Amino acid sequence: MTWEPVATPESEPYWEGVRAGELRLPRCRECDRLFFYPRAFCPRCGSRDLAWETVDRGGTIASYVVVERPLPGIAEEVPYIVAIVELDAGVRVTSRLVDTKPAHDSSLLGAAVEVVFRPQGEAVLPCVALAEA
Amino acid sequence: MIKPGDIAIVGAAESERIGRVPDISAFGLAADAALRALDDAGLRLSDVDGFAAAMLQPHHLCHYLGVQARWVDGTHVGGCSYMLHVRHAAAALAAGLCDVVLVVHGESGRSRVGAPGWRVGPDSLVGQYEYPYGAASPPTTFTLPVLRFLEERGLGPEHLAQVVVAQRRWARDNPRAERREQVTVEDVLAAPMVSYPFTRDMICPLTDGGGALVLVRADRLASLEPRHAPVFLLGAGEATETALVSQMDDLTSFGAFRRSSADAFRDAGLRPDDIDHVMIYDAFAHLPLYGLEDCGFVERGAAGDFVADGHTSPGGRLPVNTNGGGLCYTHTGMYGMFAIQESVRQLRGTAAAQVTGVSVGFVQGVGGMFGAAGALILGNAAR
Repeated sequence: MTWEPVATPESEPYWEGVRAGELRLPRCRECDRLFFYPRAFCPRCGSRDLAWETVDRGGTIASYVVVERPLPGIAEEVPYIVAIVELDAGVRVTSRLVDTKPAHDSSLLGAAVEVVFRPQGEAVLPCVALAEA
Repeated sequence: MIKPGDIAIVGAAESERIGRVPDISAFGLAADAALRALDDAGLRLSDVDGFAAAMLQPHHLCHYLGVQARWVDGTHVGGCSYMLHVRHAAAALAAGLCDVVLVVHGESGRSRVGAPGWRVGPDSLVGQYEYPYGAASPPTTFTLPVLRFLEERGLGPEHLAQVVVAQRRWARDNPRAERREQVTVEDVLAAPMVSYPFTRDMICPLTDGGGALVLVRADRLASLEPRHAPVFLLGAGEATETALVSQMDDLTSFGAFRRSSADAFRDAGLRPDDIDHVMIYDAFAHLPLYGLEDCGFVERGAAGDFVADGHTSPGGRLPVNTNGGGLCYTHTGMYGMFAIQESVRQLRGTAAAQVTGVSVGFVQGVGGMFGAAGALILGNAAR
């Protein structure tokens, strides 16, 4: 893992939260919608009146792939698992499932996970790990 | 909306060579296809006054070809851009903004000769929310929702393999197809794993090639002498969906397929039952499964068995991707042009694996990773 994300002004509060070990997302004060990915307005109602809140780190695996071919300069150690995670907070994100041995089956669908913060170069990433039973 | 039969495709051609063409640049492939399509239409470059291209800058390509356009479209929404170009061209022709439109594709996807650069910034949406996790190429992003799609329907990777098996049957008799070897489900599953559940054979090759279309208003037909009978535009639709695959409304159904195909059927006044021949953009083996369901050819959940039972194969009741598709025919990167070309060939009766009795064809394109879509309904009669 070598690719490091860079924030824009609109997403800086999200990445600032990640560096502080929290998952912070914007919620619309007009229509109450929590949304991902960060923008400076609500993508449902257009309101610019937002509040950032720290959300629960729990979620489930909605879908995933097991990557077997390295991506030079981006992700060089294979195999690894990329997952779409349905966060309990009500948004979906793409993330990396860490600390789990990849297998070529669908047994991880629906598995409970929680966000864990991992360094990547100078950056920190919100990855996910299987939740403690 | 599109008025069925008002717009005709009078020229259609691919570059003379496709596949591995290291001695011709992306612009050169586009130009070869453009000249061949104009020859097919019985027209000359000087007749062209409307121009559309994607990724290659249209004003640069116009100058390269010596075309002076009064209508230009550079819509670039990935591989389905050409479906959108055809729809936009129909509107422009109908409005009298131009009289002869050339829609051109040229891509040196394999050899990368004169190919435009492709840079993703670390502060872009994918640079922030996908790339850091190693979701940074079509095999690691386009594929992400598929295990969920299969699980919900009680299907498995073997149903992805069945799509490949079906399309290899079509490719067998096509000398221009990249992958013609006949395979079994077991062969496809045993191919090298790229991103589980996708093996190499479930993912398109990367090739070089070009294609072009010439469109006019049907009222111009009497004054033209094309080499083939015209193919008429009966309906069209376009839609956008998402910038990040995680943000699809529903991971197991592609909203832009549903919306663009519904608009095309509405324009044409037709239903899926009326369609004789189908092209569904297949950079990956799951797309025909999504497309068959989302465009209404089968009920939700029925696509896996429909393909496995041979209904999309030669001799089946709904021929799909009869050139072999992006999976087996060719895939330059933006395959949409080749899907349209095969639909035109089937309607003209000139396809390598010709289906008998094709009078209405349906073409569904996807752009980006579930990012956008465009649908066309074409016919060999104005109706």
